[in-house]
Parts: sequence; structure tokens; C-alpha cells
Amino acid sequence: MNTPTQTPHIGVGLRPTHYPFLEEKPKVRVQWFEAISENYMDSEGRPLDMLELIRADYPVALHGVSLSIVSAEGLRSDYLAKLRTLIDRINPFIVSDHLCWTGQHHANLHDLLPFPFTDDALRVIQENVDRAQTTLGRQILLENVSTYLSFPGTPYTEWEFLIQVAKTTGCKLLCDVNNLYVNSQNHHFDPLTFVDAIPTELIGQIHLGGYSDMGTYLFDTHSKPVYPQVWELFSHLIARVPDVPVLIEWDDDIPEFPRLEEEALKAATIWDSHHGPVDTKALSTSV
Amino acid sequence: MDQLTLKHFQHLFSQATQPSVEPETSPTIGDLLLPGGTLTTPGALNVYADGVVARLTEALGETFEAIWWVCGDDDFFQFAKYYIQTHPSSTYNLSNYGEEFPDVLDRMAPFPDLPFLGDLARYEWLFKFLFHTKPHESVSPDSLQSLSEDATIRFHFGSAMRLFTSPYAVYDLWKLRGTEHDGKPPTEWDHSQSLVLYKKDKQIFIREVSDAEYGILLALQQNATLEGALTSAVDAHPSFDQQRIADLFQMMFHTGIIHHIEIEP
Repeated sequence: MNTPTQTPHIGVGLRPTHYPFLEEKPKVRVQWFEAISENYMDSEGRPLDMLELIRADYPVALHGVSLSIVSAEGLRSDYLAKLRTLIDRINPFIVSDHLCWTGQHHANLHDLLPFPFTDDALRVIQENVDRAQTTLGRQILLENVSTYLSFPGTPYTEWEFLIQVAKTTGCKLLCDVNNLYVNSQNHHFDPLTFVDAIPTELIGQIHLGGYSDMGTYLFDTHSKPVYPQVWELFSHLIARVPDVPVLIEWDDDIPEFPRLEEEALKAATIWDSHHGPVDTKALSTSV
Repeated sequence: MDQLTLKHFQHLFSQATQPSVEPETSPTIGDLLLPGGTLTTPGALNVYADGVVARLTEALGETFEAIWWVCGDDDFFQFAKYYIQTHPSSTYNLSNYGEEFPDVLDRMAPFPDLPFLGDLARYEWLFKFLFHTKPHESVSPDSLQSLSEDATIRFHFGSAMRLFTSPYAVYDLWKLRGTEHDGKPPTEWDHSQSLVLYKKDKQIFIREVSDAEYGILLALQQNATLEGALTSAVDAHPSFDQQRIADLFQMMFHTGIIHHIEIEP
């Protein structure tokens, strides 16, 4: 099992549709993979075999969708225990989830839900992050989510709240540039204000993906290539944070792996333009 | 907004977006939020409410692929919607949603001419369970040689083995999922089918067994002694002779379904 000795820069999401391709151990030009934690936490089947196969050759990040770190009911012990077991098995270089809640314990909505940026929410998050990081035995990263409604009259903007969360809990931020852009359009703010407000030392990872324009709002679907406006924001951000892993997410209408890889290499090219060439050799030989 | 606790907000938001509630804005939550883009307030809440139904329907569709295939889109979506409205998810893992779907299909009995739907769904849930289950350790076939005829013997099956029986040929139906049909399942399903499902070398195997074989395996699974299980089976199925018993035990050892053997002198 490889452990990265330097920051692996460009990665893609590991998705079942690409298992047959990756099983053949092709030479690929991305440096790491991100796996959805929940797809492997309750399985001893092919998905976990595939994850272990990939992990043998590449660094892997575990990215969850069900931690529900903003839950006022607290975190589920069974979830944390299963995630810890997976972490111990895979030894990921990053463990992340979203700054959101997903429903109530008795009625999970399985969505990345919005919440008002209040001091009460901050207190709940501080308690939950503390419990998560203690139970998992490591730092976690939390991602800004796309939202389709907001709450007027709250004491923090989204970026002010994210900064408070990171500074007061010791977690880092997974900055999803697509989500940031989607929110800027849905909630009418300048995305550069958000990007420039986040202290670089708080950013532990970057996500890129494609949204869908629904006519009345932008919807975070991860079903399209990254939009030019999002590339521009990414370029602006990556100029300030050279040592941060970058990931392309594509979850719906998923293309063949080489097309996904192509999108990842666009990110590498932008990274290069600021910091010099990325080593895009497959880590099966370089790490 | 500062007056409202996060807990209270989450309760109100859940009420406004849970599938059991008609998608109209609860006045309390609606007053607290500003819709994104050019959405209306109910429209913004519906983005979330619709998303819940879509995700849970997709989860049911992945697990109950053959039910979807038999029923077609319209009916499957209708059953899924009813199930989602009446069975909120309490699992953190979306793919674990739907455990009671087979029972609900039994109770709904939506098509009198398709009475197998509950059993077919039950089979699919079992298959999903087995897919994600860790393979168990099996006893070596050599251990069969060392068994004494005088001993009281009990076989304990491994966790990656399940028995399944139905008055309908659900396995035959399941194998045909994905093929085209004109509204009628393209196979004779009106006969019973008993199965052993097991995982070996990380692969799932499904083996059809006779009623007598199923009876013996079930009795052994329920902790009967070997002698007790065989006696009951031969009483119920007099034609089940020594050769077929030997074949059954050959199969039990060959497939690796036995986790350990308990022997009392």
C-alpha cells in the first residue's frame, strides 16, 4: 500500500462504472482517487475488493455523504464506527464529508441540506467535529455545499461561517469551486469575495465538477464538464494554494475514464501554469 | 432566525420536505428562508423534496431491479412512491433502504395475476445482502471422511449462505430481468422453487435444490442433528434414497457452505 510522500495533485472520483476499466490496471494519468465512503463501509463485496485494488497502487481519499456533521441530534455511533473500520483498512490520505445535515435519524432525507449560519449551528458543529475527529483519530475536511435557498438575517455569510468552523474545530476545508460558483449565482454574491476570503492554510482539498442550469437556478448535478467560469475561479484559487490535492467529480452521465481523465488534465494544465509541471505519471510507478 | 434553535429548524425543514407531506410550503419554514435563483419559496423547498423521492426511488430500483422489470416504469414508480411516503429511511446508507419493500408488496398485492412480487423482492433483498457479505471460512471436504457414524453430528452453515423457498419460480424470473417482455413475465413462474445461495471465492452462487434437499438443509440450519434431519426428510419424501443423500452431502462440502461441524460422542 502506497503512502504519498508528497501532495498528490490531480485525482478523480472512483466510480463503479469505471471498475472494469481500472481492474485491468491501465496506465492512467491521474495521481489519486477519491472513494465515496458509504459505498464501501457496509460491503465485503466487489466494491471493497476494487477499492483495495486501487489502494494498492494509488493514494485514496475517503469522501462521505452521510456524516451529517450539522445534525442537532448528534452523530450516529454506528456510522462513526463503520467509517473508522474503513479508515483503518484503507489508510486514506484524506477523510472528508460535507458541511451540512442529511435529515433526522428516524427520517434520513439522504441529501446535503442547508441550514442557517447561526451561533447555535456553530456550537453544534463544534461538538460534532470534536466527536468525529476523536473517534476517527484524525483530522477531517468539510466541504461547502450547493444550496437552493438561504436564510436572511443570520450573523455570518457562508464563507465567514466556514472560516469559523475550521478555526474553532481544527478541521480543514474542502473547497468545492463548483458549489461556490453555484451558490454565488443562486444567492447573488461575487464568487471572488468567497474565494479570496478563505485563508489558504485552511484549505485541504479542492473539488471541481459540473452543474446543470435549470433555468430558475443552478443545480449541483456533477453531470457535466467543468464550466469556464468555474475553471477561472479555480485558476484564481490554485494560484494561492499550490500544495492542495484537486479532484474532478463526475457522478451522473459519467463518461468513459479517458474523458474523465482529460478533464482532470485540464486542471493539471492550469496548475502547471501557476506552479510548473505536475508529475502526471501514474503513481503505480512513481510513489 | 437567531431565536430559532438548529434542532427546531431541522424539525420544521424535515416536515416541509419529507415525502409524506404534500409539497406545499409550511408557513413557518417558508417565512424563514429566501429562495435561490428566481425560484419561489415552494419551488426552492421542492428542489429538496423532489430530490429525496428521486434518491430513494433510485435506491429501490437498484435493489429491486427484477420487480421494476416485471412491473414496468409507471407501476414501479407508484409502488416506490407509496413505500417512500410510508417508510421514512432510518439508515445512513442509501443502498440499505427498502428492507420492508417485499412485505409492502405482499400487503398491497397490486396485481392479482402476479402473486410472486413479494417473494421476488424478498429474493432480491437476500441477493443484495449476500453481495455485501463477507465470505465465511469453510470446513475442508476431508473432514467428511473422519465423521463417525455413531456420533451425534450437527452442521453449522456459514454466514454467507442462505436458504430460500417460494411457491413461485422467482429465480427463473430474476434471471430474465432486463429482457424485453410485453407486460407478461416471459416464463412459467407458477411452480415452487427452493434455492441455496452462497458465496465462494468472492462470487455468489445460486443452486436449485429439491423439496427434500431443502427440508434437510433447513432442518440442519435449525440445529437438528444429522440423523434427525435425514429421518424427517425420508419420512416426508420416501423416494429420497441413499444415493441422493450422498449427493447432497457431496454438494454441501463441495460448495463450502459448512462453517463447522459439531460432534458429540
